[in-house]
Amino acid sequence: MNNSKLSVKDLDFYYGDFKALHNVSMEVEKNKVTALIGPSGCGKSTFLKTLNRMNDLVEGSKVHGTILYDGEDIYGKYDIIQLRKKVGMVFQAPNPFAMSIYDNIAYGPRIHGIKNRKVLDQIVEKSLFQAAIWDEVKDRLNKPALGLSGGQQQRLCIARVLAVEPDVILMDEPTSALDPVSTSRIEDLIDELKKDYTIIIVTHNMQQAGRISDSTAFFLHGYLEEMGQTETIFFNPSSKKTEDYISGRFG
Amino acid sequence: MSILLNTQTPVTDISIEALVNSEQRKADTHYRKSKRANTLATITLWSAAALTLAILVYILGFIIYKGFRSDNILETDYINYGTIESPLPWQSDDTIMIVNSDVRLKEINGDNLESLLKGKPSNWGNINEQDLDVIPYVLDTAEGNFGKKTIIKNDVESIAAAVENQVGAFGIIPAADADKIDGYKLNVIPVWSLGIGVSPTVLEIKDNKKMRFIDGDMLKDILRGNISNWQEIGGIDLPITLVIPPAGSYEYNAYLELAGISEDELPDTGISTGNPAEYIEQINKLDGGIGIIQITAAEANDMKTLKYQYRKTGRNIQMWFLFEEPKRAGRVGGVSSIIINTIYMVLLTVLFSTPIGIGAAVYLTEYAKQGRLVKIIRLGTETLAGIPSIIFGLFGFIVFVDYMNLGIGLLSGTLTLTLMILPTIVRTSEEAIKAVPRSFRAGSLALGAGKWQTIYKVVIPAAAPGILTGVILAVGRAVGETAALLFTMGFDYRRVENLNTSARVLSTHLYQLVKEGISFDRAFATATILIVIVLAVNVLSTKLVVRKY
Amino acid sequence: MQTKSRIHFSNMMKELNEQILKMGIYVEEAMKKAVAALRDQNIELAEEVIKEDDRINEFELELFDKVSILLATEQPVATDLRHLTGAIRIISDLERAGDYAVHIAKGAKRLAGETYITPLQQIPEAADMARQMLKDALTAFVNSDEELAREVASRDDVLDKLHKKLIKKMLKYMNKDSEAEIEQAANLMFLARYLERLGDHITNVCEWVIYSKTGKHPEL
Repeated sequence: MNNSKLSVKDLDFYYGDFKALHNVSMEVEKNKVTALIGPSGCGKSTFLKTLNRMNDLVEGSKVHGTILYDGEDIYGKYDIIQLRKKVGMVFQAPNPFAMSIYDNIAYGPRIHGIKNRKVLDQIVEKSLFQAAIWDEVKDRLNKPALGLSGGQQQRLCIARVLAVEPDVILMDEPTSALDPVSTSRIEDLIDELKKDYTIIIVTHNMQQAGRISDSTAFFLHGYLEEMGQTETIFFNPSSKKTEDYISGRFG
Repeated sequence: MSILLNTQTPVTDISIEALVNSEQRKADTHYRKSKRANTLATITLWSAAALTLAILVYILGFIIYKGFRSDNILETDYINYGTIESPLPWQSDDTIMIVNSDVRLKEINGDNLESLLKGKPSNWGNINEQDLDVIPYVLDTAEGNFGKKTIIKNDVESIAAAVENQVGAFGIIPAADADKIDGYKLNVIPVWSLGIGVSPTVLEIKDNKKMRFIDGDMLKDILRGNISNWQEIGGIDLPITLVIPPAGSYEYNAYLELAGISEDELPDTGISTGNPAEYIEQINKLDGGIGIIQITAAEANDMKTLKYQYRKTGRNIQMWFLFEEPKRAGRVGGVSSIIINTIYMVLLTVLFSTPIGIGAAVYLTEYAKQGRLVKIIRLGTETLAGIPSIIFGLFGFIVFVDYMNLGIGLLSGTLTLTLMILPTIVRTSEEAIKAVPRSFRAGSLALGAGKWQTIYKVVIPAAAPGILTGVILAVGRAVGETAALLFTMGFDYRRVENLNTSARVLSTHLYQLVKEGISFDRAFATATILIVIVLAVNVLSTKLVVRKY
Repeated sequence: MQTKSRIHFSNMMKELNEQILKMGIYVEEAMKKAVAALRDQNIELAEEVIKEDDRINEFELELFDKVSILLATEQPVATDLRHLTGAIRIISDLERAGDYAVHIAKGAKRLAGETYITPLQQIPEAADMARQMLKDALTAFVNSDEELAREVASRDDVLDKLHKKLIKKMLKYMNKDSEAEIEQAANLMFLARYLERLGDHITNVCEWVIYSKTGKHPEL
């Protein structure tokens, strides 16, 4: 329990009248990769977005239950900007801004008030290095980020998140738009990053969940159907629905 | 039963085969038809595209061609034939006209030279559209009536020196002293002095026919004796009687040159004359008489002349047109101040309209609740975009000029233009902002950025190319706008001094040039500048956009 | 929930099961023939068993490849995965079972010229039992029938008892002076030992059936 980074209790989520999450409770362990799997529309992405309150942007969304981040309720008095700084997010499609590579990485630190060029230089180098893309882009930091390949763009987006020094990184199907080589580079990166960060990843790729995650949560129709060690889920799940889903029998 | 079976089975087989065949045929026909339809569609669409392109190229090409090349049919009393050493009637000897090299003059006719010497006009404008004071120089030995401003010198060298150094100066020197001007930097101008003298009988009206003018080819044919009746060149039924100037005279030499013949080839039908007086008398006296003659001599002897028609081609727009100030309602000089006024107008319009337009677009797309109010505002902007610009002009006149008492001037004009192009900017900016992927916003917000930070630092820069395109479209409209400026900006072609000064821009200048019938050449030159400015703005902005992203 | 998705995979699994069953039938057939050859002292039948073992060995390799390809291309998880990994072990057990049939056939060849010192009773009995176990174990595998698998495995004890009984009986002959008798008794002990080992392999099959069903390694 002490290892718990995020602690979700009895979470219900509504889009207007539609109840997207039913009574979800989950402990997310520190420095572990947690994979969220389930068929489309099962609520896994919705759940992911409640963790950094990106769902607040959707009109008519409602949250019941508690989400504790390091013991503090993020839907309570927690500052939303602080939350999003601490709980970063990488999206499905690489979304670098229409700026240079450097400005993309420096964007986060800048909006959080860092103006010193030297400090920014350091942050940019460190983040790009951490995201395993430094060698590929160090000679063209001032070139547009949109000129990079899809896989490079996604690693750039990860670097952009790392630049604001988060604690938890949420990833919403980060490799679904990438080719196998880029995918495995990102997977290696995730493996590397979990030493310093807690990672929660939504994926449609069962093999990926099996490869990179420590624990796996299976969502179905807005319910958390089963959660456990990834080996258990993939080798001997206790729920028949989980088994059918991971072995591709439905969904 | 067995017979039935035996007969039935093959029949069924055949009919199935037939069915398959007919289906196959149908499919083939269908395939052919769809292929044909495809070809037809391709050809039709290609034609539409080609037609559009052709029209575009034709219009642009026509205007720019006319802008760069003037091509006019002119009718004057003078034949376009002139020599450097030319006899002038008020001089007993041949003279040479020398002109300062800054004066754009290629030739001059006798009338113009005479009036320049008399000091009317005192500006070159009437002669060559150049805004320069005329400073005439003559020798003290020269004969004739000179104006008060005509400066008299007593030697050729001092005239040459003065003409070299004084902008707008010209001089008349005796042809005998031609060698004295060697080494001075000045232009020597041929003077046209000849016209076409005819007997009064030629100009009679018969059967609704009257001889009005002669062009170069007709003149050559007449002078060679190839034409024998005026009827052949549009005149009345009257034989042509060619009178040949007295041998050795200026006219005689000009005659040979114009006809392109030597002395031995004089036409048999020509009537030779011995002296100038006889020459003039013969032309006047003989039915259908014609001869080339100095205009001044013809005037002095009450001789009738025919107009000479020729085609004058040359460069239209030239560098000086861009850099000289306009004078006399644009008849003289260039359009420099008008270009500057146009630039002021565009800058001010962009300055006013861009922040308001982008602001409105950002509010409508990012902040406003997408309800009925936004729909009404959108409808409003779309309607405004479709309103004729003259109505904006009227509104601007009532509101800015009159009610707000800003007067007719730059400010009223640009405010009116701002109103006019605002809907375009708002609409294109809205589209550009909407086209920025949602994921950009999400990415920024997820990093802890606020809404305004996200819009200001991510959304607007990403939408900048689209917004810029809209602004350029709008600038294109503003640069070419005339109707909205008629009542609001005025027509003063001087450079604007302040915001309330009436100011003429390229479009209104063009309008005035055509409306007042000043010069089509100048109108086309102005149009070309307008087109080039619009193209330049386009290219420049594309370059800017490309370089940044 | 069991909808019609992964039809190709399901068909491949079905085909694999059928082929494992077929392999089982070959093994069973070999055992039947080997024991018959022993009982009837029929050298030709014994030769046939030895020859046909190649077919079983080839079958094993073929099925091994098939399972490997399924693992590579279909990337099964959970029950499917365990079923396939179990299948690899099962076909190897079947192959071993086939080998024991060959051993018995070879023994039959050796003993063909001799007069049995005692009528063969336990060996055919044990062989029949082992054959029945093999059939049932494979049925349990195909149907993922844990109950049946456990029941089949429990029959191994009976087989063991039969084996022990035979050993005791043979040991009596070992005490005699006739070298021929001692040798025959030793040979028959070995044949019984083969049947006992065969039973162990069938028990292994049962263990894999249970494993693929439950994900746990049972102690049987």
